[in-house]
Amino acid sequence: MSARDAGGDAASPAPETVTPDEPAVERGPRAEPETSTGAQPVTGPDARPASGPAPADPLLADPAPAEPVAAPVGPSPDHDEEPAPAGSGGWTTLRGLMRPRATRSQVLTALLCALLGFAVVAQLRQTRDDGLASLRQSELVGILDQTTRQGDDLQREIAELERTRAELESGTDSRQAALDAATRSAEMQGILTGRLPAVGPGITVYLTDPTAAIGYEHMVNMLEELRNAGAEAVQLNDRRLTASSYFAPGDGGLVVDGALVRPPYQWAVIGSPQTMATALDMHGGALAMIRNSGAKAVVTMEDRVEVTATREPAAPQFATPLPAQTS
Amino acid sequence: MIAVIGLVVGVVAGLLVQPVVPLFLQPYLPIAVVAALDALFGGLRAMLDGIFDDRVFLVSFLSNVVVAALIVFLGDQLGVGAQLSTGVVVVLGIRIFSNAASIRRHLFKA
Repeated sequence: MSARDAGGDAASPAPETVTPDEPAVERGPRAEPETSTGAQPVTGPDARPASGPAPADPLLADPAPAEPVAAPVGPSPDHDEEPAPAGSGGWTTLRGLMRPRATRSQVLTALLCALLGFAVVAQLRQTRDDGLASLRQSELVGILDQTTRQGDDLQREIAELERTRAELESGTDSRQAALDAATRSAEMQGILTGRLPAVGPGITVYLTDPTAAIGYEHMVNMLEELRNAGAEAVQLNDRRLTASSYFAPGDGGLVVDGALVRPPYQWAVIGSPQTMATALDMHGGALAMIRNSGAKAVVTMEDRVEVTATREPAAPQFATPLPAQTS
Repeated sequence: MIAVIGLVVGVVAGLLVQPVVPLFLQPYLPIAVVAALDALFGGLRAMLDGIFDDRVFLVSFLSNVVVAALIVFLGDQLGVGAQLSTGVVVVLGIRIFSNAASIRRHLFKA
C-alpha cells in the first residue's frame, strides 16, 4: 500500500483495472510452469514487473525498471529519509509498509495475518499433541503392519529365550539332582563306613563282666549276630564298629581296632529294634553264650539311639575303582 | 505494520485460547496453513512490486486455502490423499521459494 502511496494514488486504479488477474497470486502461478525449468524465476521477477503491469500502467512501470538502475545509485537515497524518490529501494518500500495506517487494506491484511497466526499455533499444538490421530489411514495401516511385524519378531525372540531358559533350567535341575544324589550317597556311605555319626531306632546292650569272662569270640559272635539282624551303625563304648573292625584279647578288656576297651561294655546299635533284640536273645545265641560265661546282659529297645563315635576309613592301598562300564 | 501486529495478535490468541482443531479439519489445516503462507509471501512480493491490492490479496488468500483443502479432501476421497497433499505442499513450497527469491531481490538486489 505504500507502493500505492509512493507510486501515487494513480496506482489504485491500476490494480482495479489490471489486476483482476491477481498480481499477488498471478505472479506465482505464472512462475510455476517456469520453475520447472529452474533458472527462470531468477530472471523472471525482475523482468516481470516491467513486462507485466507495464502495458497497463506506465506510472507503475516506472519504479520497476528503476530498480536495476537504482542498484548503483540506490545506496545514496537509502541513507537519507527520502522515501519520496519513488520507492526506488525495496527497503524504502518496506519501511513505508511499516508505517501504521488504518486503511482498509491494512486492516484486512492484519485480519488475515491474525487468522494465519492462529491457525499456525493451532496446528503446531495439534502436531505436538497427537502422534497418531492426525495420520492418514494408509499411514496408519503401514504403522500397524510394521508394529505387528515387530511384535511377531519379539514374540519369536521370546519363544527362543524361553526355550534357552528351559534348557538352562533343566541343566541346572539335572546338576542339582546329581548333586542331591551324590550328597545322599555320601551320607549313606558315611554312615555305613562309620565316617558320620548317626541316629535312629535301635537297641542298647549293657554287659557287666565282673569276672572278665567275656572274650573276643563272644563279641565277634554278637557283632555277627547284630549284622545278620540288619544293624546299620554299631558302637561299642567309644569305638565305632565297621566292616573292617576286629576284636583281640587285651589286658583287662578287649582290643578293638587297636584300642583297649574295658568292661562294662555298652553297645549302641541302630537297626530294627525288634529284629535285633530277638536275634540276640535266640536260644543258644550270642547273649545266651555271654550269660552262660557268667556275665550279665541287659537289652533295651529304644526309639532313638545315637551312634556318636566316628571312624575315618583308611584309603584303600591296593584296590582302585574299576572304570565304569557303559552298558 | 498492522499486518505484523495482526500476526502477533493471532499467535498470542492461539496460545491463550489453546484451540483444539476439530477432527474433520485435521487433515486440511496444515495444508491450509502452507497455502496461506504462500498467499502471504505473494502479497508481500506484490507490495514490493508496487501492485498490491487488498481485494486480490483477500481473494487469493481465501481461495488458496480453500483450493488446497479441497485438493486434499479430493485426494482423501480418491485414496491418494497422502500423495496429493505431498504434491500440494511441493507446489506451494516452490511458489513460496520463488516469491521469497523475488522479495530477496527487491530487498538485497541479489
